[in-house]
Amino acid sequence: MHFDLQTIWAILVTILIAGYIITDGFDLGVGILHLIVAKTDIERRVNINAIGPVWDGNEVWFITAGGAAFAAFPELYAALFSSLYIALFIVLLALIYRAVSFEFRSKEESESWKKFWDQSIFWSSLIVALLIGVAIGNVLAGLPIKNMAIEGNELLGFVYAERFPISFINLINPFQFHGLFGLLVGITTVLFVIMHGVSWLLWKTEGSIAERARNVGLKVWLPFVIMYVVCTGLAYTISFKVNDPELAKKYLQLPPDMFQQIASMLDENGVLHHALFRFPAIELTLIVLAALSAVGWLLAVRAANGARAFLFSTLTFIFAGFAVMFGAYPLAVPSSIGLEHSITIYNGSSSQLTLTVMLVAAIIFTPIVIAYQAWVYKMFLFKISPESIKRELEEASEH
Amino acid sequence: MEVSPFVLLVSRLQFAMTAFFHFIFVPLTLGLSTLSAIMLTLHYSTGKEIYKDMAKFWAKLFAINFALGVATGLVHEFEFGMNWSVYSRFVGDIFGAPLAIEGLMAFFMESTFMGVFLFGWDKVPKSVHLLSAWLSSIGSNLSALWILIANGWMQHPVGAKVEMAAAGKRAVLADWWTVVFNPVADVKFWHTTTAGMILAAVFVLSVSAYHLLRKQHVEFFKKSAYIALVFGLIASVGELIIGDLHAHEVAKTQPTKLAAMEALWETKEGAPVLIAAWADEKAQKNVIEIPLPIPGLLSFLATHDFNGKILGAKELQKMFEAQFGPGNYIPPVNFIFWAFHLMVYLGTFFVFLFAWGLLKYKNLENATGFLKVALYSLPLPYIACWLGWATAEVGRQPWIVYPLTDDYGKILMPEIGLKTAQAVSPLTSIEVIITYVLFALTFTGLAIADFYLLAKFASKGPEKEAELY
Repeated sequence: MHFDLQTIWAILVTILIAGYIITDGFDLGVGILHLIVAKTDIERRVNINAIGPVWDGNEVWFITAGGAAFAAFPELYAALFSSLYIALFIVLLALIYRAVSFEFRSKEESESWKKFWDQSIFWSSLIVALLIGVAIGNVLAGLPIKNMAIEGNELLGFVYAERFPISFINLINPFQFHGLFGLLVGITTVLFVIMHGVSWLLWKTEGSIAERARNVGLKVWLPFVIMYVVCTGLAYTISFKVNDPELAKKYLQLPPDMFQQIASMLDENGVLHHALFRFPAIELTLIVLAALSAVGWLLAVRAANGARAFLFSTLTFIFAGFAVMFGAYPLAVPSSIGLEHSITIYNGSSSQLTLTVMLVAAIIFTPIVIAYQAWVYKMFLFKISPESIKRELEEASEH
Repeated sequence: MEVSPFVLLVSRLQFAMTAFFHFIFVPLTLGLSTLSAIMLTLHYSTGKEIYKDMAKFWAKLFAINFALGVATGLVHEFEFGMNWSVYSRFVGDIFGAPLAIEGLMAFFMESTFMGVFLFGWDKVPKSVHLLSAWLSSIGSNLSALWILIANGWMQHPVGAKVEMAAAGKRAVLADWWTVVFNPVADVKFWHTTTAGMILAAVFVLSVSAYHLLRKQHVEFFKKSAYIALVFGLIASVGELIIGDLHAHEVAKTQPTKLAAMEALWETKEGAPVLIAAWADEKAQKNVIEIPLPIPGLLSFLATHDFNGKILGAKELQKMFEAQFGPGNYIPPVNFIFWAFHLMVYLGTFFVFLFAWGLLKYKNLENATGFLKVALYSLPLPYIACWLGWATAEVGRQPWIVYPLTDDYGKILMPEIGLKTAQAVSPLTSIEVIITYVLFALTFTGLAIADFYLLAKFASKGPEKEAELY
């Protein structure tokens, strides 16, 4: 591992994505739990108001992670988003419906109006969580991308070799390794956001909703752990093939010692086995820490301690997220066509000057953002319940 | 791998459509966040309840509008990579940075503190509440600054050089502060945020006129209208000056856009301003033109010299062909001419509207004629904003990154120019059609729901309601 600007940015983008999944993750979870833990109209309003003042600030993490990827790794941003075109489109549609569902739901008295937006909250939250996981899984398993510069094109950059609709179907095709792995990571992500949503509801609400959330939490823990173990096991088997080491040397643009290290691990056919476990000690440590955090979460949920549960579900994701990042490092999007076609954090990054400018901006603004978001959270961390919401509605109508 | 003209066309239509939807919501956010912060300030400084009700009422409309602004803006950030991957990788080194900083510095601030402003009534200390309202408003305007720095760079790509990288040719940053202080970006920022203020002022005025015509909540809406009129008059007079500065920058840096804006075919010294024109674009001449009887006015506005020379479209076409090879380098003249002129006419109308309202202010509730005009003026600032964007973006064609030009037509860096046709992602027709149709349906449906709710809450007037979802 080198401590150069590209590596720092790989870590920063990981932090932003983790920031997104940790903050928006719990409100996605609350959205998925919406129909399960909240039954009456008042309960549903409690559920939405539990994330009311914070969800749109949370979604900004997604926008910022997207912007940071664009600025620091433009080749990655361009290739990934055009390759996963339809999948990303569905995520965007779901995020749009989610945003307006919260805003619109309680602004009309009609039953069918409310029901429509309740359903919309559930489905949009589920789809966003699932597809983000599917995308992460597919990228880790390698996508069929080609560096067109190798073929002499000056402008196209990295291009997806499959065409629609095959390109989309294969992302969730259980008979293709990357599709299967994507699906499993997607399901694991959904289970994780449900756990994280449970943490939040335990922390922020009391009464019927907190009680039901706790029961759901106790039920999803085991499936999550099983899925996490299965995904980790499958990740261990992932391997990539180098067809032409000379091209790899020229186009991956890795620092020479890093390239040597990877080259020395290739077998006689040019296959890089256990590609995501090239540093098994670090990998295993992170995975074990993630598992321990998950156990801590279960204990906290048993004790109905929302704050502690939130801390542990956050830690679970941070450790799991960094395990993914270190596993893939220095690859950003491995190519299943041949490792020489991959996007790395070196051939996909911006210039040194841009990375420096952005680093200065990140050093100044990220702590400020975290500080005021934490402050806002603290301010809105009073408990709400069906009774308190009813009281607030009555008080307002008395005026 | 050739991208089909169909994919290019649909990708352009989709970007234009999502941009237009986005710009229904954004300018109101920019202006109304400031107006409601002003109302809240009046409440906390005078202690009068009416200003509290005003801040609550207008902030509620603001919140309904904001959700869709975020949702449509989200699409944009990802649409660059999705539909314009070649553009994104070519410019990412420069264009990505302002977008990322926008999120980090401005958008976080806007949305986090908006939550405190909307939900913090009686829950947070007064000073914190007021500060939050202002931070949210400052955040939304800062957000516009960074977006317009990004857009300004596409119009006038300063502070960059072109190099070969591992995956092909790309533009890289040479000087960050030159990008930030790009003169084109800076006038665009003032022009756009001022437009947002005018739009919000017309919005508040129009909703107030609706209630005043019905003689309901008279004191409440008269006070609201007063704030809108004063704010609007300042903004609309300011906009005339800023608009002039903006056109001056366009003349220097994008001569083909200026020629189309003014339907100027022949290179002229002392060119007049046309109030109306219709061009025969094939024959490269105007069929109809009605000049303003002030000789050399266009030259003066563009170059600050009544005898200044302005390059006509014909000469520019030849110049660009010599530099970049065969192709059409003049954007659609009739479209740009009318988009630009109608925007200017509307901008001038707003000055009169606000001045008229202030003259009638003492007896505003009985000034039926004015109130009716004010009520039906609601769509006009929206149309003006769209026309402005259409002038800026269609006027840039055929370029997505305009080759760096200065001094009224000197092309300084031809190699940085990127044509829109080169910039599109290698997608299939089916993919772009699916997303185009579904975005169109979704946005139309949501916009209708949004207008319905806005109309419902606007016509209901100030009522006490819980600040809850």
